[in-house]
Amino acid sequence: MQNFRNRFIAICMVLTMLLSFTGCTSETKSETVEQLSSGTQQEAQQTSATSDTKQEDKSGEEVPSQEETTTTYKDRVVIANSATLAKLDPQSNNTGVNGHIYEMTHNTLVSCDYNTNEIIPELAKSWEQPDDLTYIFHLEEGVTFHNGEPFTAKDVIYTYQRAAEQSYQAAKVQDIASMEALDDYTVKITLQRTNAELLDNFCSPNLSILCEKAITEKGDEWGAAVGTGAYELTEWMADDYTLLTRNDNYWGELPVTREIVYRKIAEPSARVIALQTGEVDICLDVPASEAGYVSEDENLRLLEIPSTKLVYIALNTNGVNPALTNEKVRQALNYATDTEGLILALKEGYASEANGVIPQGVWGYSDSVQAYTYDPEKAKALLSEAGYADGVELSLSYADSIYPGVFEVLQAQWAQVGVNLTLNTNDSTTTGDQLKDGSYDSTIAMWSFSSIDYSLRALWYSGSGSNRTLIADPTLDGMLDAAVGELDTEKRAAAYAEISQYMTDYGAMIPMYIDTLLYGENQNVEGVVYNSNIRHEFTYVAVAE
Amino acid sequence: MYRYVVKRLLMLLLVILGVSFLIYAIMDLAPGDPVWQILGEDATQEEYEAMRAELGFDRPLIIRYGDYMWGLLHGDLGYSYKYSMDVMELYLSRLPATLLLALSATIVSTLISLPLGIYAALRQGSWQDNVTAEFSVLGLATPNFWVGLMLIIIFSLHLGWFHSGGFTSWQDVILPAITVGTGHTALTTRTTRSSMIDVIRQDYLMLARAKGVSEKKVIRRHALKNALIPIITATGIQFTGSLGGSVITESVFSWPGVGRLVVDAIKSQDIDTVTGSIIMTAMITSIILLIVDLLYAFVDPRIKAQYNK
Repeated sequence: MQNFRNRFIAICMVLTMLLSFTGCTSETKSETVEQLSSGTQQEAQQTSATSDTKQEDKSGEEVPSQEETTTTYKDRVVIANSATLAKLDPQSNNTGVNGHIYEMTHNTLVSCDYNTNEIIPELAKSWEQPDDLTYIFHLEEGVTFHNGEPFTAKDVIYTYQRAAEQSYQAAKVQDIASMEALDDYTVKITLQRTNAELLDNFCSPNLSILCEKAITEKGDEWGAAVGTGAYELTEWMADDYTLLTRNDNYWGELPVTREIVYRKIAEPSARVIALQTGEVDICLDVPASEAGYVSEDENLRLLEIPSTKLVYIALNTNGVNPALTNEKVRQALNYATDTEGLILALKEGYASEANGVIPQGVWGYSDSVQAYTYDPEKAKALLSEAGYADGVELSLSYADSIYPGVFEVLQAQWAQVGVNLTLNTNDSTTTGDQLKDGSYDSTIAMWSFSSIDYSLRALWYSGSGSNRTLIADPTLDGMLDAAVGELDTEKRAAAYAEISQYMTDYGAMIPMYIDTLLYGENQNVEGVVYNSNIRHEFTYVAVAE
Repeated sequence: MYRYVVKRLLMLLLVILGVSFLIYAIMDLAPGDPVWQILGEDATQEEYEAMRAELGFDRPLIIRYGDYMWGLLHGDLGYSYKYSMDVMELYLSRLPATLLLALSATIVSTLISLPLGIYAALRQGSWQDNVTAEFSVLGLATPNFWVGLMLIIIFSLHLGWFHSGGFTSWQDVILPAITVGTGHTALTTRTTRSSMIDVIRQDYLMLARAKGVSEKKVIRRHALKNALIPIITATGIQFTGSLGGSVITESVFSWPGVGRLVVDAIKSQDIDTVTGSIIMTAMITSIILLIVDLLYAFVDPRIKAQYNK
């Protein structure tokens, strides 16, 4: 009895203390709010800014006395993402996050304005095409690499020759037959067949121009990190942060920000909190469940950027499950999928519906493609036509780390038309093995579309590593080859519309949704170019103080 | 004493041999293929075979392991495919943050649990004793993940006292240290309490009191010193535990420690990084446990006498 009483008192005491603790915090909270409004807000936002720029401090003080005409910018801008630079060598991977950094430290031969899909000059100030197979590039003069080496035609040739030997990049330069330096600032590239996408490939940050001498001297990693870009890689802690310092000898327009930190904050809530406290200026990949915190904060801005990332269910057509070799069964599954319901379950509405197998916003998308609508009756009819009136047994293989709990929605949708879907979840490496050897019925896959030929070839060409439907169709291969060789833009667009319709009718790729990128940023951020293909350009990022 | 140390160091070699082989074999048996991880899925079969041969994955496990150990003998922990750098360099870049966090967490947990445990032991069965018991259970039962986020929300977001993560100055260790430390407090408090209770019942303490030694002195000089052995053990184990096991806290606070490095390396099948880091952590752990054992000798002359045998 005595013991029970003691325990009871103890629990009461603990509870009281906890309660009084909460009381304390809310009191102190209101104090801080006052402090913040009385001027420490700027300090809070400056937490990681170094104070060695006397000039900016001075002008910062003068701002109130002068007219509000001069804007001062933070010396250091911090970008947070779920990952940071993982590889120094641009050619050793195709990862989007790494590309954000290569874009700042390096330059490509030509560049792309993704709003208009127009190829614009970068290291090549102009180019000409004497015939369909020949390109002559005239290079910028007086450009130097971070190590002081002058940039010449030899570096362009070296970069593309090196790329041809790298598994991640070889496809982008495979049509080049020969390269020749006509003089120090002129390169002639000859192709073995026409390729309408050559210049798009040259825009990839992974084909950034490298310095041969730096690679010979410093090796493949640190050597390849030497570029001609506006920023220089000065500190790199793998898996933690990347520090870039402005290259004051940059040949182009000099950015106002002196240092850019690209931090990995893996835990999504912590990443959003860091944005709220002002430690971070830009937070990429805000989880849908945390988006409210960003949009409600008056110092922050929530960006919803439609992407070209298509999330889809891939039906394996190689015969592991005989039902899936039947086109009618595949079409029935398309009709049985209610994408609207999936978008709500998966992304709390932060995604858009796909119309066909090429996302809207990608060059090559066409309105004319007849896509599927949710129609369970039609699905049932198609299944009985195909001889599966009694139902179909199917399994869906995916790594358990993606979208926990949402495939039950799909399971329920398909059950309505008599498809019994088994969810086969494993760790990512086991699932990866299944995908590698083709031993799965169906899986969930995603693809961020960049240039159209590169993307479709990866997804649908016979034998491609990213071909999850395992479609091996000579007709389709022929259509893809013909489309990329077509130099007339209109005819080429028509060719892709035809391919898209062909693949939609084939039915092996069930589009679930097109992802919306959710980013948060400080209200004062300017100068970032966000592109729907995730090739964002942070070079001219600036944060007004 | 020296013979004991030498004996323990020889045992350390056996431990490393065992640990390294186990890890190497497990990583080899685990599903997934590191070569595809390196090449990317669009690589051709020829490129795959070439890379496989280049990395030596076409040789039997035992030969690769032998090769690795030969390199280890020369101070080479291997090469990380994921980051394209030496594992030693990678590991050493993470070690300071890990050591700092482990040390600070141990200090936090000791500062809380030692007084709490002694206090509870002296008032055994009272309501104060129960309060400390509830507190330590609370510390043990609350997930680190939640504690970490709450600390960030209170002290970074609302009060603005600390950074919410990262490691740029020494203050940054405070919140993660409290997160890891409070998790450890439960065990150390309970150990201190029970160890003290055992000691204060001993006859020699009654004798000391009968001789008129002040209560403070009885506790500090006579009781605590004798109760210290299990406490040091518990603290030592927790310290070594935080060397590799603070993955969740490291994740929440973006702390650039070894735990996160190893977990990320396991996910991407970076065999050398996993093996190398675990060998290093095993080595450091064994050495720290050896130091803990040697500390016993300073605390307890009886043990010193045993070592000297």
